Amino acid sequence: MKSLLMLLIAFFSLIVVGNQKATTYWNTGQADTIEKGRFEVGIFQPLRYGLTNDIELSTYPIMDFIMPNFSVKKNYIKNTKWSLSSEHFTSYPTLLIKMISKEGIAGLLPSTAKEDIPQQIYTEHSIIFTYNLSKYFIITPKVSVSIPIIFNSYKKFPTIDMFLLYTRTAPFHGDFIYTLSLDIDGQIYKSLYYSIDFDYYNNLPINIYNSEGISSNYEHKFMLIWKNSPNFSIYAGYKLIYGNYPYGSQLNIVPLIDFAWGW
Amino acid sequence: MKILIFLLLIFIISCDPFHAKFEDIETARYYEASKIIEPLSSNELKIMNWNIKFGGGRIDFFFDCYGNNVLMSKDEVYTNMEKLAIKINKENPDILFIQEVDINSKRASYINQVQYLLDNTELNYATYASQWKADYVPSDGIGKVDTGNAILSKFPLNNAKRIALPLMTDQDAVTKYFYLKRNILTSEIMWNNEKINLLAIHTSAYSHDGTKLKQIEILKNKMDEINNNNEAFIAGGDLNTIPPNSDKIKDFPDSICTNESFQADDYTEDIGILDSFYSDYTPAISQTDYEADNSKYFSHTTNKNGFWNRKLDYLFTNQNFENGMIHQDISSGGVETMKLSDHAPLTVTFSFNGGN
Repeated sequence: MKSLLMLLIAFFSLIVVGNQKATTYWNTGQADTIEKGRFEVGIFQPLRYGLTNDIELSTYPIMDFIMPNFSVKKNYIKNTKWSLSSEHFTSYPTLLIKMISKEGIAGLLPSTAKEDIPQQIYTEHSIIFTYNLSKYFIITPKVSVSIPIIFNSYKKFPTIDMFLLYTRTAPFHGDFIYTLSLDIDGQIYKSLYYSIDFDYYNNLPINIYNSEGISSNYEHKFMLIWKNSPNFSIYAGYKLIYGNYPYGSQLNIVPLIDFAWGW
Repeated sequence: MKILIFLLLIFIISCDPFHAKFEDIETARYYEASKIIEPLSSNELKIMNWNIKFGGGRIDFFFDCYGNNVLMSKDEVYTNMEKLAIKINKENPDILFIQEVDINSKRASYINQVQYLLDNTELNYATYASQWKADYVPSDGIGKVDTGNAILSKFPLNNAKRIALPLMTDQDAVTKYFYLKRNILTSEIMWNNEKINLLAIHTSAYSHDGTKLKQIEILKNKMDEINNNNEAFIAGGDLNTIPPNSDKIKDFPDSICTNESFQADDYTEDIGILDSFYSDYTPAISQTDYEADNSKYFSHTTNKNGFWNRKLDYLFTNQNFENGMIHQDISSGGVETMKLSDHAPLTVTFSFNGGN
């Protein structure tokens, strides 16, 4: 049961990344970085820290035990209307993949796959542009590229053909993935905000590990956010996933809920 | 925090994000062969029943405790399916009941085995009801699964329904959500201007809480209902229980699992559950024949190096059955079926009362 709970936390950490503005806090996902010295963390969101007013560091703390990970976001341009940043994420997923290759509950992969899992480092690089039309309507287009670095000789191991995880674990199989995203955020009323996003995933035409590749995958998320104060916020909504998997296409919807704290 | 995560878990499961739930009664799925072969007219039908172990042949899977295999390659599945099709074609049944047939499972490389059998035998039509379906089973590396019961027929099948059976009661909510959900698959055919009701079932193998007995009782009630309406039926499948008056009822030597979740070798609690099936209707293998020599009608073993050591597979009718046979080996059926599945096929010849 413990391993299942840990897996659930890991699972939602990968998907519940909010993105809202019109305040100077709780703006995950936008080009703006968190202000210097501020911390924010959610149950399923990363721990973020403002190193300077234009450099933000973040990590998923619980995940660090099973998948050490680290991200740096650098803001290059920022004015009242728009903002431009790049974000660079890296992680060591080998431990996690081996951990979920097991018998029994939380065995997302067969235990026999363990010996085929290579040492690897996962990297993801994004360009984020945020345009602030008004506090009710902020748009953030984003382009990301996932680049796997596999060290020892690559052997095929079973893919995780599950919504949300299929695209996110494809680079562990040697797939180079690009993501095109559009986020729309804004205020609804007083402390109540919304966040809508659309993501498109596909393969880059690069295949150095002889991977099987993925085809177009789409995701859409809607969340209501109650920004109670700079110290606490609540997120609730859903995620819709239309994926193309090895067995065919499928539509899934999952509820999302999160609580975040800042100081 | 733990309570929060628990509530979240319940919330997620109540929304069925993995598409693992079923209604009490649903329309079953229909399939058709790529090429329809018109059946010859006859006064008899050959009926066959077979649990085909999802085309796994005699690969040792983790749940049998003989090996640790979970997934098969496409080549493995096609090789096994070809052997199953050869045996089915040799028998050339008019109606085939199959259990553990996968239509979209990672373990079977997502090969639709119902469609494969339709396209590689003389059977034209099929109905299918899932008994285990989830977009992802997060246990043992199983992944996506859609497996269940099917009825294949040379004649068009109509009014196909999936009737949900009671679920095991001794599992936690998460396990229950992702676990097998047994059913009765019902369909109808018109043959020689008369309707025949077909009822296919595969009951719980590892039930220790009386669920299997309830499932078998529901099947019996359905059979009685049809019989009381003066309609014909053929019912059967893998009942996961042994016939009345079996010489051996527990401690089968091939059951080597120590994990209670996978133990199915004590049928003491089942005694008497099939008595009314035999007294009220006609079995494919008569009780007299079975009692004369149990071993001749054994149809299951988990040990590929052993031999069939218990009978779990049945067909019953309220009409006539003749020539019932368990196809155990070359001497009974002409094929070494031990290599093809962990169950042996059963065949019988059906005709209407009064020789219609």
